[in-house]
Amino acid sequence: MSESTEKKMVRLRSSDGEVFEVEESVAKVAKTLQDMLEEDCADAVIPITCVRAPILTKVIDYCKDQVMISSSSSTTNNPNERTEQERKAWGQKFMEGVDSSTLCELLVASNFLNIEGLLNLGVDKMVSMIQGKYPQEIRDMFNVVNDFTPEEEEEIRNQNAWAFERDPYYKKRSSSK
Amino acid sequence: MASSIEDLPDEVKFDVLSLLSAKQLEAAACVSKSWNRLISEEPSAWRCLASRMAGLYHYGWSDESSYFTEIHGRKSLKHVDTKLGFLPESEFYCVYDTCNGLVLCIDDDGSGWKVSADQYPISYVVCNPATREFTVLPAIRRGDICYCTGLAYDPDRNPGEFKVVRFLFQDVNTLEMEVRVFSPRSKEWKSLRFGLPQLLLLAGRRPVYHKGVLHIPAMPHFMLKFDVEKEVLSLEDLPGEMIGGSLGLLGVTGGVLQYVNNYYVEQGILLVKWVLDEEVEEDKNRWIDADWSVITAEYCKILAIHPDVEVVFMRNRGKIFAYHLKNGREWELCEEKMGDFEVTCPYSPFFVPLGMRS
Repeated sequence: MSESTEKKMVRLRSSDGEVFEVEESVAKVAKTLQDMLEEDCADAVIPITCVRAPILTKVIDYCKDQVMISSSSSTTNNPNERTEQERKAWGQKFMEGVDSSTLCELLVASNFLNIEGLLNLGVDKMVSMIQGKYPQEIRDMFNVVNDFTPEEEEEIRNQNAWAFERDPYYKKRSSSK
Repeated sequence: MASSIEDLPDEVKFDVLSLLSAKQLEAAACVSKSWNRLISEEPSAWRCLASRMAGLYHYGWSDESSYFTEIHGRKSLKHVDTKLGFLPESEFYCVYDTCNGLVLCIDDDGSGWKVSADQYPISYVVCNPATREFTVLPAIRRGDICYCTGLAYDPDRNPGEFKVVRFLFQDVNTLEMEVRVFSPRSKEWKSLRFGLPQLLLLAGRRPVYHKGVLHIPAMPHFMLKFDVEKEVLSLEDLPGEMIGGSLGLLGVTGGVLQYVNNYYVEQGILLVKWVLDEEVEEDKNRWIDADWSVITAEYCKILAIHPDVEVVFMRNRGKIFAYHLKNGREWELCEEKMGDFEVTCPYSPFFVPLGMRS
């Protein structure tokens, strides 16, 4: 079932000036771009001013995958269709090895481009990174400077004492390593 | 270029923090000053983001249990336990009221209304489905029949404290009404008595909390007000005409008190909405006729008013509809699962821990 008509292409420019050419259907996964394209207010090259090229590459990968899943969904027994479990596994794999700084950029990009699926993946990833961590571990991971004075920290520690206790479950898991 | 968590847009930060448990949220609050401010010092900012309504709690007398209708598929809602599964085991939890993210329910042992009054005590439970905290209130005798029970909680005015207010049946001879107030600080029910100028009927309406006052529409055509802080009970007129015995519904949209009523007209049903002008002195007519629209239906019952947008929720032909008062758009939410006389409470999650631990 190949289409005889040539697929319409869209060009996107990242904040650092790299131009990406993608199929229109891929760009339309991003609601922000879909709106622009439908209202015909997209120029020859759409500037994505807050997204750097490496991040945009990752975003486009995601959109391409979404198009692949949905393109043949009209036919029954779609080989690309995923079960809930497969979807989860795919999402985990997609986010594998993404560090905290890349993750923040991905979140900004998917929020700006309005790609809900990718935003959800990023949010879940960030939640899993924060989960079960001490405040100091969170600081290290996200490069946050501890700007409390020792007195303030002491007070906050007392206020939030239970935040400094590990879950029994977590204790078990880390000691078994 | 954003490469730090601090640079994320607020709505994204909110999505992340709203998925953390209360405990993880407290750990996050210790990370830095800005994180701390974000989580603990600006509950109003958080509420602003959180106050997008998530759904409706319904309660019907007919089968003595509650169910929840999701309105917006907010992703953060998946970590909100709207089914209240975190509460101690019980056969039924009936949701009586909601207020700024807290839920007031009654722990009913299933013997319900069928047993004699004094046989089983009942307990109210106040909980937060977003942080999964709860407090069980001291049990009360089933004998004291009350018109309705309201929950008052305002994180801006009084961050740590909620109040539960029960409005008991009025004495037909003296016209006196007993109001019982519970606050977690006093840990007990306090009884107050107020004289009223006439006999009222409050059946089937939930109290609406707004700026420190619980408001209840009352038959024949009044608004009963209980100032939770000053502990004063008063009556005020409702706007509009009282035709065919229909009493409208109170609600708060965008921080303004609203009253919506429906009238049967030739073309269908006329929906009228009034808003309360708080600039005007109290004894003057303070209601402004704000909006009206005619919907083509033979029957409808107004269930609730949306807290964020100009939408009312209605029941019609066994279904629950949302109706936009400004643009006339109407859409079906779900099939109705319950019979008549239900109380419907809009619920918006609030993710800041109250510090109530049970």
